[in-house]
Amino acid sequence: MSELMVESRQLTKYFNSLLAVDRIDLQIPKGTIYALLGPNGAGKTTTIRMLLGLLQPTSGEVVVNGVNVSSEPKLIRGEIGLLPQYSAAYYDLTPMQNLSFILELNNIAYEDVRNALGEYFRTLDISYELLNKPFSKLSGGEQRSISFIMAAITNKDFLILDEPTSGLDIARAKYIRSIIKYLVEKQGKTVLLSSHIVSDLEELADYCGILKQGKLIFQGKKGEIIEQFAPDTKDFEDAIVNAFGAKANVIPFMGGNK
Amino acid sequence: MKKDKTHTHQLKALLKKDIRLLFRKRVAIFVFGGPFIMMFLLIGLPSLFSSQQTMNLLFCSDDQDYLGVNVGEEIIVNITAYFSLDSSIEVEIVDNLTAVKGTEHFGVYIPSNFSYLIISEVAAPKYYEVDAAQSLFSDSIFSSIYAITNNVIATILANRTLPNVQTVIEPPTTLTEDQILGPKAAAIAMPLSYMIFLLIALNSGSYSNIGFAREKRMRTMELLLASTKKHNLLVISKTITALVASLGSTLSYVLGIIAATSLSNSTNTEGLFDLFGLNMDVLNAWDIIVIFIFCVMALLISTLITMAIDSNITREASERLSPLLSIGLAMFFYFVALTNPVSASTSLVINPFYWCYRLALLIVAGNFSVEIFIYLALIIGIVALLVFFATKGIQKEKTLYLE
Repeated sequence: MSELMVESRQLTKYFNSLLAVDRIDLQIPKGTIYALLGPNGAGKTTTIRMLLGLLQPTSGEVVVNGVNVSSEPKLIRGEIGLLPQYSAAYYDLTPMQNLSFILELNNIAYEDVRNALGEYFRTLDISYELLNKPFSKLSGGEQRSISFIMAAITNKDFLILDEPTSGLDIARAKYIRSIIKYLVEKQGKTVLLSSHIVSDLEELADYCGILKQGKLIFQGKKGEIIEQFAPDTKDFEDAIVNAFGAKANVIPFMGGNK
Repeated sequence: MKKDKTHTHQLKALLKKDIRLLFRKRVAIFVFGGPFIMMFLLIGLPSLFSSQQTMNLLFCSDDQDYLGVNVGEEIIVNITAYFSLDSSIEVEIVDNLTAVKGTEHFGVYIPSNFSYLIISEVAAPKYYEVDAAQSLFSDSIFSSIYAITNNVIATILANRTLPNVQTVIEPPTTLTEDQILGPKAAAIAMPLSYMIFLLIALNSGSYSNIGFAREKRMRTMELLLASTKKHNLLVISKTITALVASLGSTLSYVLGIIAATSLSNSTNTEGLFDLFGLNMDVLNAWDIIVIFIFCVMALLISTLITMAIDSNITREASERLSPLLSIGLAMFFYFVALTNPVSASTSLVINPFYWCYRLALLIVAGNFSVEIFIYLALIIGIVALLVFFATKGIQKEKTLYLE
């Protein structure tokens, strides 16, 4: 495995007596897309917050881009591009004001990213009129697209994208996926992707990590998850469903068959 | 070595964003328009509070019967009649100067040569005021006494040149020198305590529009915490924004007063200062600046108290509950200060608004003692402590969102 962007050792987090993350050894190679998967409540968000330095692990440690986040959380702040699960933007500000806030917060001059922003707007079909409307007046897909640009435009080496295509129409979701691939393949960025959308995972993920009840039950290349969890069907979705512990081949609703 | 300006850039960005959010249409109407409207309703509040206090006015005259006319007696009769309609003042006639000087409120002493000086016109007659209360009430009461005195003299000396009566202010003997901060401190004591209380009460409602609860609702906390190098920058930015909001509200408050007083045909600036109870005969521009600075200081502490509580309590109701402690402290401070405006108060020694108030009085009085440094250290300490607690609060896992 090549140089690592993220390496955790026995990373554990308790909330009082509740074990949220149980001794996970995460390894995310640089320049790859790593999909962190798991059913709801598996500990994905807690893990991501520990990587961001927002939560202090109960035990174990995590190193992100050479920074020991467990002991020096301040050093990692502002070094990771973040697209949270919900559209984290100010609804009373316009998309342009939201973007300029993120740029100013990261001390990036607008002139330096003008061309890149133009490319994002063009690719994601964001018009000039849209940029000057209040964020609250935008459709869900437009809001998600702007939030994605806010995460990507900061030009960080490591991006954490939580459900990046959630709520997007088919075209925009495709464009977002192509941008993510471009960022990794052409710019050498590392992406930690958390998503439940199979098409995202199938198209983007180089590596997968599966969390279940706080434990990392699988970590490896995308092909390996199919070999391990769906050797019969060779289907990626089946492999994930099986890994989650659900029944992949039985859909009993209304007597339907797969 | 190049200085790292990341924190400065980040603070500027956060501040710009917070100020932008403050000046949204709906928030701006509430924060800046509300006080203006409220002033029409609250304009009579200061007089309402002040009239509820009953104070004794001790009167002693050593004036002798000179040429058959006892001016001192005439003055006492007129003053007793004048204040008989005012339930807040009780006039008490005493027969010795010691009793007057021992009053806990205020008193007037007319010396033995008073009538002689009026009739003979050899020198300006004087009477003595003893001001133990040192409040804005003293000013208005002594103004009334001066006016009545002149009226009495004018009646007695009809068709003659009126002598210029001079008043001499004497400190009461019941208070120690330390307790007496002088006429300037007395002149700002009541207005300052009233302004601190009113401004805190007035501005507490605007916090919910700019505080962290709003960030939690918009789910932007995670992004802010992940992107900001030092989390206390978030607290500092919110605090500065809250101060801008408070000062804007205060301006609106003043404009509301001006508008309200315009309706009652008293549009001049003196009328405005009178309304705040500020005696501009005693105070100068520097004193007004000190009052302003310490009002801002009290607002800063009030904002930080609200923020520290709000960010440490996860429930949604916290944004409504958190200003209550701040208002409660301000109210407690105000009502204790009302009873004894210029004396050091032991019951308020742990009240941060009192520290601001007391420090302002000491500075205006020019009393640069060790007390000043103690209060200054306490204020700096509480600000640092509250910033620390507010920062710890926003870092809590449970406060990331309003679930």
